[in-house]
Amino acid sequence: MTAIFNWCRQLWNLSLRREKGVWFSSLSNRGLIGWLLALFLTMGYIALYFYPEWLGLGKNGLPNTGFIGWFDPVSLFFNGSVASQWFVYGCLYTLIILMMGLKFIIKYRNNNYQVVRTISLLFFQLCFAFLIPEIMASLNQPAMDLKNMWPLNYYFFFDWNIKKLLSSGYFGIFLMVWGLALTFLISPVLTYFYGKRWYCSWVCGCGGLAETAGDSFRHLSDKSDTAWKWERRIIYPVLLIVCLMTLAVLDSFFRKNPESYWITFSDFKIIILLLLAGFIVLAVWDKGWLKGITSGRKWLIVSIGICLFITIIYTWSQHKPVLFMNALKWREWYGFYIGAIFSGIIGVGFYPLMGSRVWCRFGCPMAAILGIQQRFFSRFRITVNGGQCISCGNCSTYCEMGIDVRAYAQKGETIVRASCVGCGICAEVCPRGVLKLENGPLLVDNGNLTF
Amino acid sequence: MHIVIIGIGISGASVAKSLREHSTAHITMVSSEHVSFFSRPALMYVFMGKMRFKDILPLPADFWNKHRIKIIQGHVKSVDTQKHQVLLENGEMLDYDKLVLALGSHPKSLGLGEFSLSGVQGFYSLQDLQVLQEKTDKISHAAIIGGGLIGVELAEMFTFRGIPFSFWVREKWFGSTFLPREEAEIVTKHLMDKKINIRVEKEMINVGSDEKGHVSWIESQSGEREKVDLVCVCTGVKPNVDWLKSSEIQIKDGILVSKQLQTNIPSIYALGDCAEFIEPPKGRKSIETLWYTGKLMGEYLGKNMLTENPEDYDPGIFFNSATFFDLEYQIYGHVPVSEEEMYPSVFWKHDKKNKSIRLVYEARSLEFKGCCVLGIRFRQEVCEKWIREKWKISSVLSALSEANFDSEFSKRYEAQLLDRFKNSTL
Repeated sequence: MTAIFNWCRQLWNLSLRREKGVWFSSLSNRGLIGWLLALFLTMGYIALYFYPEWLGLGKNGLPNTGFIGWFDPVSLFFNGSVASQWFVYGCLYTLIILMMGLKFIIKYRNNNYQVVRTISLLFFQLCFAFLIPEIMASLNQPAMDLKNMWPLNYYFFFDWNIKKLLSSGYFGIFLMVWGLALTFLISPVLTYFYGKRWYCSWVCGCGGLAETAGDSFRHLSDKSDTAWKWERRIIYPVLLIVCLMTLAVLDSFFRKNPESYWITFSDFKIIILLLLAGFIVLAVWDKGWLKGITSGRKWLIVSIGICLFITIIYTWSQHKPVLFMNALKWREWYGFYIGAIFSGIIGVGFYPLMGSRVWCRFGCPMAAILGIQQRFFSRFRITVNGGQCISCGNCSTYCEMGIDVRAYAQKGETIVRASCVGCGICAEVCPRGVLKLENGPLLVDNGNLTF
Repeated sequence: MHIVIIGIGISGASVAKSLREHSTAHITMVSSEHVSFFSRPALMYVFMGKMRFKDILPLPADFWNKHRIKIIQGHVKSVDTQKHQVLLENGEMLDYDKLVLALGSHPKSLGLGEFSLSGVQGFYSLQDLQVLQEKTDKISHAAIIGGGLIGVELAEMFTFRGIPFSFWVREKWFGSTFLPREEAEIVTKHLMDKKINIRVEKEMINVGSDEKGHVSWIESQSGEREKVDLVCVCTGVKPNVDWLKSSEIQIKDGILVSKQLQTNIPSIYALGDCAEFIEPPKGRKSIETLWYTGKLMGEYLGKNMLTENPEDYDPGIFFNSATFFDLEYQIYGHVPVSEEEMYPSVFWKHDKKNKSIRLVYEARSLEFKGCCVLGIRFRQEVCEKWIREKWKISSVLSALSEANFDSEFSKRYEAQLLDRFKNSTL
């Protein structure tokens, strides 16, 4: 009892002091404890993905032992079968988000935006990611995390998933339609009105872990221009790859089921090549270039380049499989390198080294799509209150996405950045209250467009 | 054209940045404090471990090179206004065509010779921070003298690092020299809620040291002595101009400047904390030691210094902000500190929380003059618009929600305020 009381008091004190002193703590300044934690997390993920028997998973019909064995009763209660490593992972993941989320809420209890946002994250993790899929499974229906949309959920269009959904009656069809609507209708509309934050820092599971458990590491993200360059060089190619892979898988699926083939092989290739060209442009995008591109001549060069590229590849690949590689291979490759190593081992394992949003910032294809929309077609922005910035740097330091917020704030510039997940911490740590997340309509004042 | 800027604080850095936007002149900056521009108000966060020193540098490391601004670390010894030369302590000479003095200020002494004792310091420069950091673990009891913004910063720093201290404030309420009475009360209460050992109506009149010349006690006007091993004196700042007094540059408290920030010598300019207006802009003090003023002056000077007929410096509508621990304070326009008949105000204060809104207007015309808020954020553009366009207080009241800049989902207090004043005849 005393122990619990002391713990609560410590938590309370911690919350009074906010996030001060992070650079003094070995855990949060890449000290020994930080490195040890990174090692532990990384090893944990390696065990989970590749050697679940280390954790006690019974193979070939043997019963579970050890760590995974502890979860058998819980699993039996929920879905009637013994625990798999994924069930254990789901339980731990949810538990950690709930606990650390509670800490986060106490810490930022004076800021309603943070409280509401975190409750939303906890709700979606507990209900949508954990309970509802378990309930679906226990009712012998296909289990699906209703908020996990393509392309983050890269297997949504895989043949086994489509087959599973199409063979599960009306409920399966509903899930299929829901998944499509989420990606192509609901998400664009919400992103237009609220920015990508509606997903990345209110709903998403990866975001949920980053915001709660990763809160003590947010200042470790790299703020340099070089990091920003690599961000663009990696995230858009990942988006490209996930699109290509999905198309390749769909293509092979349709070819095996010609009766449902509503699009021709050539159409596919055109779409793929267009995507390819578009994303190559995005990946090598440069701010200087961006300014020049409106001048006209560069437009011409880019357009001709794209057309040439498409024609050459298209003619050359007439009779080769889509993307010149077996769809199965693509799938395996993506699942291993991106799904497991990037989003899991590096994404979470490197929290204490590179900050909490490594995956969201450098890898997540969903974040890439939402980011492009946020940058060019959304009302969301962070406004700066007149000339009140004192250039202290708290906003930049505590930005988990590595945005140099101060660079904008000290010039009084409104911040519209593809990577911003709208966590609102910059506005919270600002000692002068200079920043505000906004998504109200843009006003036209004296003929000038203003925010 | 060679322009030499002495000082690389917010004023000096703003001049250099803005000059580069408007001219291709050679720019050299000289500073003895540090080779790069850092955010002075952020020094406290370095002490608290919230940021590293490199995090408080507002401009990227390659900024100066990229914009062809040369930086020399060195101490300027004297200025030869005849030969257009600046002499550095290491003997180096710099020829200039135009000289900009952005010298800043330094902590004001109480006249007790206290700064000659070890263990007595101000909290102003990078060097002050370094001294403080070295001592942190050895301090058994500290005293903060002076109830200003630096005093409260130090209180926050010491509280966070667990250094026991007492906070001596001359007035009856903390902040009563720059806050209206009710606000000063709220802030004082807020500090007391934070368990700050705040001692009001206490002035340091004497200070004593041990045999090694280290401070050991301080004495208040009532004869009370307190044992201390660190004293931070923050009773205000003073322009950094003593070393220039033998030169031909005219100096009163600060360097005297015209409305174009020009000194009595046409090729020399001064701005920021060290500049004193002969004729201050309307409604302003002759010396304004604010971050924002330094920035505004710098931007003005960079733009106008090299033009033929420069316009006068116009700081616009006054604004300032501060934070007392986590309590934010903003002020726009004219808010009198003492109660003036001419400027009554609509004042609302939260029953329990430390929040308040004050809207000041002129008694006869009912014109809105300014406002200040505690624990609530107002939008600068909106407040400025009301003041500039001379809105009546009643229109301001009905449009009050437009000014809100609090984060989303924050509780709104406009209705409470309006409710309280619905029966008045504003």
